This record gives sequence, structure tokens and C-alpha cells, in this order.
Amino acid sequence: MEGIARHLWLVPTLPLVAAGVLALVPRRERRWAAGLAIGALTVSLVLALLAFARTLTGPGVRLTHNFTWLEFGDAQLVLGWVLDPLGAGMLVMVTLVGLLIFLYSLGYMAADENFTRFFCFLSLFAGAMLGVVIANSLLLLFICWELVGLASYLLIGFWYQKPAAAAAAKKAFITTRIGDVALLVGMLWLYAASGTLVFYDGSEGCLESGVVNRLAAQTLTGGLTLSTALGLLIFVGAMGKSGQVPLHVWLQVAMEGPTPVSARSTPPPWWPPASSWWRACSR
Amino acid sequence: MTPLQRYLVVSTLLFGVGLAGALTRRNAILVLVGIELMLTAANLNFIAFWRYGPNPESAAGIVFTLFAIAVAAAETAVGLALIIKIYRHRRTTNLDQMDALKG
Repeated sequence: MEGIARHLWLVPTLPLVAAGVLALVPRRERRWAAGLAIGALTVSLVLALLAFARTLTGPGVRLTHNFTWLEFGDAQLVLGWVLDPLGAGMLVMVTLVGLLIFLYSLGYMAADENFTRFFCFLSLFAGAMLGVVIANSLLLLFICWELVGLASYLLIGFWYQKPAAAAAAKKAFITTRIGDVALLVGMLWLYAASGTLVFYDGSEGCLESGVVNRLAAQTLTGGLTLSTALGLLIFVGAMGKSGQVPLHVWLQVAMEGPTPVSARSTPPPWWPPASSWWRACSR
Repeated sequence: MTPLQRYLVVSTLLFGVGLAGALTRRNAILVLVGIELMLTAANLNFIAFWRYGPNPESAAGIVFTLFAIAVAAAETAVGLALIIKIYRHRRTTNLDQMDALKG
């Protein structure tokens, strides 16, 4: 059963690969395109259910798989993924709801001439969101986070011939970018302060007590601890994507996209990783 | 074929695709995409020669490439801004119609 943690990367990768293939599929291959997108997400759902079953075998299961992505002198950038009860629950929910939205789009977009392009973007969205859920490194989370932003831009502006849709897409992209700048600053600051971006890494990860206590012990101006400042910055990134005041302005016009897109982007399932960080940091 | 040669073949192909795009496309944005592909091929060469060169322990190849990527991002921003400006002025991104400097 340990295999499922090692192969957890397949869950987001399958929809991403499907999106890559669909980008090359000609427009008239509708049946084929929808079948590929739905098939890839169904396999992801099965894998997510297997992963979820694994987390039910004992209390507080946490399996991680980390690897070095880039070595730069003494500094290393480590990516990886984690399987824990919160992540597994989110995986099942995101794949299941995503699959329902795919099936709904089958009928909803049936008359649209850019049917294959729609399924390409939907698969990209699903893959990026699943990547956010399994990420065990703030850097990997950031990469998938930006992919989610790109996919929502593409989907909100799906009917780009409509000026309102094009403007809404631009607004969504730019507004969420403001939040992402805060997330990027938080990420760089965290790396400078702790030297790691990995969430769980033996006991060296930035969500584990050693590093968090070290960050919480440093006080900035006005009694603000370093961990609170970092948590706030990362929280601003989550605010941007989940449409919270004052970065909510994109959500009101996001309905310019096709209806399944609104269903996909309105519940903000990407904030739990950030909120767990927030929780750990503000102790 | 040594690994270095394989990398060079890929980067040559990438450069060829980019060059063909930059020369044959008439849409300014697609020409910019072609230029970016050529830059990526050059970056791949940097990394390959650094990795299989005499001194792979130094970080020179990565530093060069990260620098080139950052500069390329700035260059794309400037290029896109120019294209938008030209589009607002001439209502087209077709390069054949941007012939105001022709005598």
C-alpha cells in the first residue's frame, strides 16, 4: 500500500497529460476528446479513492515523497508530494466534483464549436488543482497555483469574442496576480528565513514544530512574529484566489464564462493547504 | 550518440521550429513565440554544455540560464507592449502591413 503514496503524482499528472494531448486534437474529434478528458479524470478518481482508503488504515497517516529538483551550489530546491487525511479527502472531493462537472459539460457545451478546447482547459484546471492539493513543497504549490490562475483565465474568457468575457478574464487574472505577489514574497521570505520550502520532511519541514517554533521566536516590529507575517502573506495569496474582500472583484464578473466553469471556480478548494499553513504558523 | 549530442539535437530542432515560425508567420505575436523558442534552444545548449562540460560542479550554467530566462521575460513584456501599441495604432498585428518605414 506504500506504492500509492509514491505514485500519488499520477493523480494530477493524468489530467495534465490529457490537456496536453487535447491541445493538439483537431476540433471535429469531439467524442474522442471528451472520452480522453473524462477517462483521465476517472482514473484519477480511482487513484484518489485508493489513496483515501490508505489514510483510513490508521490515525494521522502521513506519507511523503520528496526529491531534489534543482541544485544550486549549496542551496537545493526540493519538490515532493504528501498523502495525509486532509489531502486525501480533498483529492476525492476535487476529482469527484470535477468528474460531475465534466459530465455536465458534455451536454452543456454540446453545441459549441470549440468543444475540444473547452475540455482541454477543464483538464488543465483539474490537473493544476489536484497538484495544489498533493503538493508537499510551497514551490510546487506555487507552480500549480499559477497554473490554476492560467486555467481560470482561459476558461472565464472561453467565449473571448464577447468583450465582457474577455474583460472578465483579464480582471480575474490581474486580481489574482496581486494576491500571488504576496504569496511569492512570503515564499521567498520563508526560504530566506528557514532555508526550506518543504512542508513535511522528517522533522525539518516548514510546517513542523522545529522550524515553526524557530520562526515564531523571531519578533518583528510591533510584536508581530515572523511566522505570523509569513502566514499573513501566504494568506493574502489564498484571498486572491478564493475571492475574499478586497480581492473579490473578479468573482462577480467571472460568470461570463460557461456555466460549468463557474461551478469549477466558485468553491475555492485550493485554500486548505494555505489555511493549514496559517493554522500552524499562528499558534 | 552521447547524451550531449542528444541534447544538442533537441535544441537544434527547437531552434529550427522557432526560426521557421519567426520567418514564416505574419502574425506579430506568433513571431514573438518563435523568437522565444529560439531563446529556449539557446538556454538548453547552455545547460547541456555546462552539465557535460569540464566543470559541472560550478553553478555557471544555471546562473547563465536563469539570467537569460529573466532577461527573456523582460524582453517579451516589452515586445508584447509594442505589439499592443502598434495594434491600437494600426488595427492589425500583420507584419506585412506594418510598412510605414518603406520609402
